[in-house]
Amino acid sequence: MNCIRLLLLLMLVPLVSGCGLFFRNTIETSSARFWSNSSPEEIRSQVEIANSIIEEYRVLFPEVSPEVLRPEILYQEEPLSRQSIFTEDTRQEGYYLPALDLVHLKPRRPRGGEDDRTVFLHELAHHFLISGYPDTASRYWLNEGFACSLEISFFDESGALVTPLFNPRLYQEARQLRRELGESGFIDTVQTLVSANWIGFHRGAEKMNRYAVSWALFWFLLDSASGSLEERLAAIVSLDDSAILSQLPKFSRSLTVGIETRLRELVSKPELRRWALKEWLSVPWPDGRQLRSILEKEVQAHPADPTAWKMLARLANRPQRRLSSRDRIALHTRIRDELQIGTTAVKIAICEQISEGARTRRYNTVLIDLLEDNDGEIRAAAAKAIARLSRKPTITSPDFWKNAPAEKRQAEVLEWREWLTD
Amino acid sequence: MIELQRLKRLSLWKVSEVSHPGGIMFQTSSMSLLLLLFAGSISCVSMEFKPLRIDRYSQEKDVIVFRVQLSDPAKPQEYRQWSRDRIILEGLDSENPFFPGTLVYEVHVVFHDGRNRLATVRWMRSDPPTGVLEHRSTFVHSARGGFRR
Repeated sequence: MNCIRLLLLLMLVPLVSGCGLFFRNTIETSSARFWSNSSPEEIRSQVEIANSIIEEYRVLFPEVSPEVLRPEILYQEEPLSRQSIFTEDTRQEGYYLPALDLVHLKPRRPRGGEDDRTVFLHELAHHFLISGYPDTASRYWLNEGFACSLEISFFDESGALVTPLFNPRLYQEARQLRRELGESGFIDTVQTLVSANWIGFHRGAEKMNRYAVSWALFWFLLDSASGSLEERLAAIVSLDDSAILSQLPKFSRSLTVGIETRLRELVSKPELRRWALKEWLSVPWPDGRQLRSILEKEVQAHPADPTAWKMLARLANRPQRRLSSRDRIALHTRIRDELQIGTTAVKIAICEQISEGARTRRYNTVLIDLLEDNDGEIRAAAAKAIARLSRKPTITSPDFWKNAPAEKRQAEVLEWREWLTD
Repeated sequence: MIELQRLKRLSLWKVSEVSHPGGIMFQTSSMSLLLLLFAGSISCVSMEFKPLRIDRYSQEKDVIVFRVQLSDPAKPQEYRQWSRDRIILEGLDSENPFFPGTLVYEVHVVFHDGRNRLATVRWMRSDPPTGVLEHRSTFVHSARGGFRR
């Protein structure tokens, strides 16, 4: 009996003392309370990201916002991560506990990157959904579908949250699963998923597939509804399981549409244009001809925009894109010319996109010329680019190309010119 | 031979580090058998960190790559520690064995088991450069891979 009392006492201590028992630092903001063993300075950017997301979610979901309490966010860096050691395993990066309004983040990748933002967007989406619609806590497909829709959001230049809702990676995974299972097998899987309990949803090797299908179903239902995001969400939440199951054949057919067609539709939306093009460039074997045509218009409209040129250079230099050799040569020539006449920012952006996969000698002369540019940043970027492109060993240190005496740099350039004539 | 002794010494040092977390020492005689078993098991793990083969080449004039073959995966910290020790051993902070006079800017150490990449450690000189190569990242790869939330 005493043992049970002791056990209960031990369980109560953390609840009574709060997270302070386990975490050294607390950061209070108007949006959330953060607990961490990292110092406030170390996690300043994470706090800012989380605050911005919470504030933007409140704008996005004004009706449910008053119901959403300030979350407790535990930011627990692994001792290994603090030493910049990252393990590519399948452990969780974060989870949400509705009963405690608690988001627990355990980053396992370099701090402050895009991945941190994705995890924040995902877990805080759970917090908003379950706070606004408590009945959804046990509808796991809906929870994950919603969170996976919002996790790909990003902040635009003005700081506003842009929500494409379309998750290209999960769309491709859902399509792949449908191909593997066939129409009827796929519908059976979705039926099981819709009524799955926590264990049924989260356990087993098929978990990632369940995320993909949950997102695809949520996105299909969202696309079928009308109104603001919050109104469409409310409409989906109000659907019972039988209403959802009746739409499964139509949902399954919607996945026959290819990823490039979906992304092309999004390119036509101004606020999503750049994002959709970037995603399109990441698709395996993209339609290079179509992409080239769109990207050429993009650089014509924004001739001094490094991002536009970066995308065109990426298309020119990435392997595995459907592009005829004539189009490829024309594209390489276009990029080469821009390396000669473009602005500093454009030249650097293009250099960064020149990869080993470019498999062209067309850039060599101009890149060697850039090693003698007056701007040290351009020289450093050109050195990195030509190092990736050729097998001749060179000096890649930016410090050398920015600050070394001119005669030392000249000796290196001379080697390159000799290599070129050989 | 010197190198082998050095690796052995490092291995033993790691054993003692892992055996007494937080400085707690097992001193009572009743714990000695347990300690022996525990230390034995740890030393087995560390003893596995014996490179079967080390290849070294210069990818660029100032970038040196090591390809280190291991029989089994090691602990995440051991990859970093081994590569740091190797940099010290070869004096790469101040010398470049391939291009004397050119400061080494980057060192990549790729650990593999003959089939799969186990870990990649990256050391780099900061900008502006300091006297030593600094650890940038250690990525420990997994056969399964992936992250989830």
